[in-house]
Amino acid sequence: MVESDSRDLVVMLGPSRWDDSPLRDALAAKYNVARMLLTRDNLLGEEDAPRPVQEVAESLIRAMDRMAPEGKYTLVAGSTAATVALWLALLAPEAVEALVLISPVAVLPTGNPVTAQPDQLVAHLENVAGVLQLDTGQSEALSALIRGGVHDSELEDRLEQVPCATLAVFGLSDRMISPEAPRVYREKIPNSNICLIYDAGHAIVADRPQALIDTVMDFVERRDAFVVGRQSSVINP
Amino acid sequence: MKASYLGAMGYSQRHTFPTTWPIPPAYHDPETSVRSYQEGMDECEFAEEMGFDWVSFSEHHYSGRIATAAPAVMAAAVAERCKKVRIAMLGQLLPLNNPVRCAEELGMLDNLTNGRLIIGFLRGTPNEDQTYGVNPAEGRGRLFEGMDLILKALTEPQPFSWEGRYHQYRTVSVWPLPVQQPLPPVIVATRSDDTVRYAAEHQLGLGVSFVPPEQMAAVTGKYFQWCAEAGWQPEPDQVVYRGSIYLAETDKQADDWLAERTGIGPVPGGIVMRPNVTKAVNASRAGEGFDLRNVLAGSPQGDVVGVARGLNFIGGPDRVVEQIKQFHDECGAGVVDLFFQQPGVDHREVMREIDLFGREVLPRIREF
Repeated sequence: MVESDSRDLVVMLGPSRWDDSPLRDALAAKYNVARMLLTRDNLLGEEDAPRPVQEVAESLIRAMDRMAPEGKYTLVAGSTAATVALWLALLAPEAVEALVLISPVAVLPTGNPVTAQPDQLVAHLENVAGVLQLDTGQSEALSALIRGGVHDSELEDRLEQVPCATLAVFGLSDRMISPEAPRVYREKIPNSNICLIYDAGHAIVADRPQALIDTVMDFVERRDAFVVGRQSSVINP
Repeated sequence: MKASYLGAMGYSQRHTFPTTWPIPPAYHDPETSVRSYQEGMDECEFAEEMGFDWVSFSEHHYSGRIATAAPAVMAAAVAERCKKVRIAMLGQLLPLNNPVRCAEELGMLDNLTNGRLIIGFLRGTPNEDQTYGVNPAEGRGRLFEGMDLILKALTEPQPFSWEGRYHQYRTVSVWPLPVQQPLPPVIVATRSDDTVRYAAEHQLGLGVSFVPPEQMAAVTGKYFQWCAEAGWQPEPDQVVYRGSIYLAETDKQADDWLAERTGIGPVPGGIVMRPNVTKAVNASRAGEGFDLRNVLAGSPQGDVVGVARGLNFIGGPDRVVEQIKQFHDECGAGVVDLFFQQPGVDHREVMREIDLFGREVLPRIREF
């Protein structure tokens, strides 16, 4: 069960536990943060064959129902987990109030092959240390996700049915995502925004952590109204 | 080879200006100013008539020597008079400006000219960092982010948010997009390695200003190498040299003209600002390899011929053809962007030079 907490719930989804993520720390300071872990066990079926992502999402919804009955939450997912997150938003619209996709690889066209090589994930090599580290189990889960195919044509056909406010965040220097891909989210998801993080690769949290945190925090707080500026430009009041 | 006329729109009484920058607005006389702009536009129109391929505009501030602080405004006005030449914005000073606004102006200009726009990206000279209070130490970073943002804004068909280091916009959705798809030709004006490499890696053109050919060759040599490494080869139009010119009927006339002016004019060595201001600007840029020669490029004193190094082409037609050919042969320049409005050269004299250039120089450099 998610700990009782009067604060709004944010669920972070991925093969990583987000333990080392400054984004998780920032969200946890303001929200009740739960983690929904994608594991080898829930991603693979018989004979280690990847389960359909929709099926994975359904099992996660059941798990969330047990953990937080009638709970509503903002769902944050990164990279390959974005496909699962979009299915969750489609299948549990009453629960997923808003969706944040970080470097999602859920739609075509993709860029270079999906990889977990840290040096391919950052815009600047000196930021490699900031890439979230995966243990063996997490790596296996990621491999399972990739083997299952990061492109889900059925999902892509249903993107226009995603009901919640959605933010898709991309690093401008992401080598795994084609520059043409972000606009697909904006075109297809009715209430969506795309945000380009300058000078960041696929692992935005490694290259521009504060930019990612500020953007996501603002969206989680204000949803699609985050487009309205509120920074004061007064210099000497 | 192609020729471009730099529409400087210099204030006709600029020879009365003090040597310091900025020029106090007290020197401005409305009647003179209106006439100067009209004469400047006449020069652009005549340059088109004489066969120039481009007319260019460059952003400079707080001085009447190059009186185009808002180059898009000037370009739009001239584009209504000149219906054939390409309109080259060489260019907007990206560290100073809102890149989204720049993209909107460029999109409009390409539509207003039905696809005749050429885009140029510039960092600007140190003095101009003061114009809008930009920290000189951040100029390079603002240039790079500005280029990326403008390129994205001019090509992205869906609204997006931008989370930069220097710019944050939650909604960017530039209208209109350029007529030329996917982009008008883009020239990056620079001599800095990192910016030259940016141009090469993004398959953009290169502009170099006011340096002698051996210095430009060093820059273009790297550019061509990095373009090859990036898997492409620039077209001739993508390598632009901007230089100052004084063209006379004969070499002797040109040399005599220069001799009369040697020693006249502001102190050699670049922009004259108050000493402490100069020190502050230089200190701020010091970590970026500041080179005092940079201040000559497009500076308020770039048009000062009291020092010979401010003038790149001087002579009669034969000698000027050879001088231009040197930039073609040794540097790979395919376009020469020419600044005619030297101090002490009035409107009538500029028109004479344009006429002579069109008759005696342009047909010959086309053969390069």
